[in-house]
Amino acid sequence: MTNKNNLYLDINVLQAVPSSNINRDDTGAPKTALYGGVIRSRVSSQSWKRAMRHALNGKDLGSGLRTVKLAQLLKEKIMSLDSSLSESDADNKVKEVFKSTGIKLKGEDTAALLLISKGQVEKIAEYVLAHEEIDKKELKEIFNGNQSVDLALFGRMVADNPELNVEGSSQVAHAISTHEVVPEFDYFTALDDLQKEDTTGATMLGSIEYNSSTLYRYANLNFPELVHNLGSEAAVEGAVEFIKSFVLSMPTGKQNTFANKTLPNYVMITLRTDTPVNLVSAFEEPVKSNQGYVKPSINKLEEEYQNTLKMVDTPIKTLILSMEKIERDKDSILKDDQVTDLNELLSKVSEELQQVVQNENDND
Amino acid sequence: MKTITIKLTGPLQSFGNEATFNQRTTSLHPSKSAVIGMIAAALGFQRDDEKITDLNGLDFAVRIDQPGRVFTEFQTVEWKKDTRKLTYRGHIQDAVFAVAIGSDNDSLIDEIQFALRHPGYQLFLGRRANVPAGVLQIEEFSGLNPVQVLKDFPWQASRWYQKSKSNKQTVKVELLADSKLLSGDKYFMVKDSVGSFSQKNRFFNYRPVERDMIELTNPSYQEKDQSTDHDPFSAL
Repeated sequence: MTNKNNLYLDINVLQAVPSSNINRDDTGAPKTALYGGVIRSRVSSQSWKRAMRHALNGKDLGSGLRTVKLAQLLKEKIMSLDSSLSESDADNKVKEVFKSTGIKLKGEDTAALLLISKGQVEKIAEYVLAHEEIDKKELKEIFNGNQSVDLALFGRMVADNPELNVEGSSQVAHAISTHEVVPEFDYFTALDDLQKEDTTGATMLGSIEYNSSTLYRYANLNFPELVHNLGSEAAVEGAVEFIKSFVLSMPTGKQNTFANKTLPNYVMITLRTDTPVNLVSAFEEPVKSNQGYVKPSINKLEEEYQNTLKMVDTPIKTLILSMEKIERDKDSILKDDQVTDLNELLSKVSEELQQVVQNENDND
Repeated sequence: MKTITIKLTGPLQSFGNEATFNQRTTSLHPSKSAVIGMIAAALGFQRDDEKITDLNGLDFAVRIDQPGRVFTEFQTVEWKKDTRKLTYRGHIQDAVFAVAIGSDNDSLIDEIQFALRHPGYQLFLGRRANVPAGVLQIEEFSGLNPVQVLKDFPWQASRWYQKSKSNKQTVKVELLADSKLLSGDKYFMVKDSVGSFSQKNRFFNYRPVERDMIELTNPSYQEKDQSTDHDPFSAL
């Protein structure tokens, strides 16, 4: 059967956010969603991805391959994409590419080692097959634009030039609160400091809608796709950057008004070989509590994790970073999966992924 | 004939119909093309794979077990540096759908079922950010087509939703299916047959659809206890 080489990385985060309005709709109210019959606070996927992109800041992790054999790679790719093309036609297409980029060929090889990823070679091949005339600027864009980690993670769409499109390798869900929220309104007045003594009243008044919530945040990463876009070395680093930016970033909406920048209370990372699993179903029945939402949310999440194991393959690794002390059963399967800090979490994930990359290379 | 049911649920789902750039509405139930897109992603097909259109041949039916509520998501898009556009995208919140896919080619259904449990690309409910909640629940039936399966398939709505109708012993839910699986002549045409998902040339053809209402048992039905009713005339 197909898809034997699946490897998905799930990130589950629980994060308490105080009074805030980090992502608002066209009326200025915090975004919401209905789930399990009650209103939840929501932060859209797009909003959080933007914050992540800013955290990644176009970080360039370089390409997968360092080679002089670009001409050969490109020719093979062109011929595999269009089997009707003769070898000499393919050769001509390759020559055109090198002519318009100004990269010199010495016989079959390039004069210097070039850094390039498999994804880039594929894009160039697609481009020359779709265009009779090569536009230098566009080709240059393909050569330069494909290695940045945010592009590999979130993809790119160029409507008038689909060859430049990149399919993202990650999936980020909308964050929703684990419990019901009730909208609150902050009514405010502002006074003019230079107002005459004998006048009273506010110069301006208004209201801001806000709420506070414990958010369930979920994202996953299709690791083989990231390898496809970046090459295996850079993909391991890219995955680590992905986790870091997801865990540490937050959209900045009304941040100056509410100073709501918190860090996650709980992070669970799972490496799976079959399918990604979004555990939001744990909160379909909303958490009810009058002593804070974080602890009961953690318990529900871990319970759901264990329940879903009945339906999927056992993950190759699960890692938990928690700011809260968790009370678990003595025989809980999660009892040995805890790490002490973010660094340990990241290095363990990177170790595990390196292992996978190593095994794949050995099998080639 | 083999059929599988797939339960589609999550906080948000979105099934585009007549999309334009700024205002994108959603249909009130999963479209066949959306489900085929999901299957194609599971099978690891690229957008322009020619094998995708073969999947149009699958038999398809969907039952609206919990209709959810439509809302419009407001977003700004920076489409050019420092230039933003406002967009409005329809979503269905808190809905549960039972989708059934069938084929006379049993091994194709087996392959699809395996792929949905081991997807080559991430699955989503109409938009990439609409991740299905929990593990995808799939069940398998032999010798029945999708409509036959969904006529008897238990009501998939959430517990709270079933309870909200606890005074009703049965509920009626809407079913939409390939016209040939129902009467075959009371159809309406929907632009929902995949032509291509390629971003160079995305298009859909028409397909005939028919609608039916199905009566299902409500497992949360509670018979009213007569004795608690206050009847002032009983004393007379």
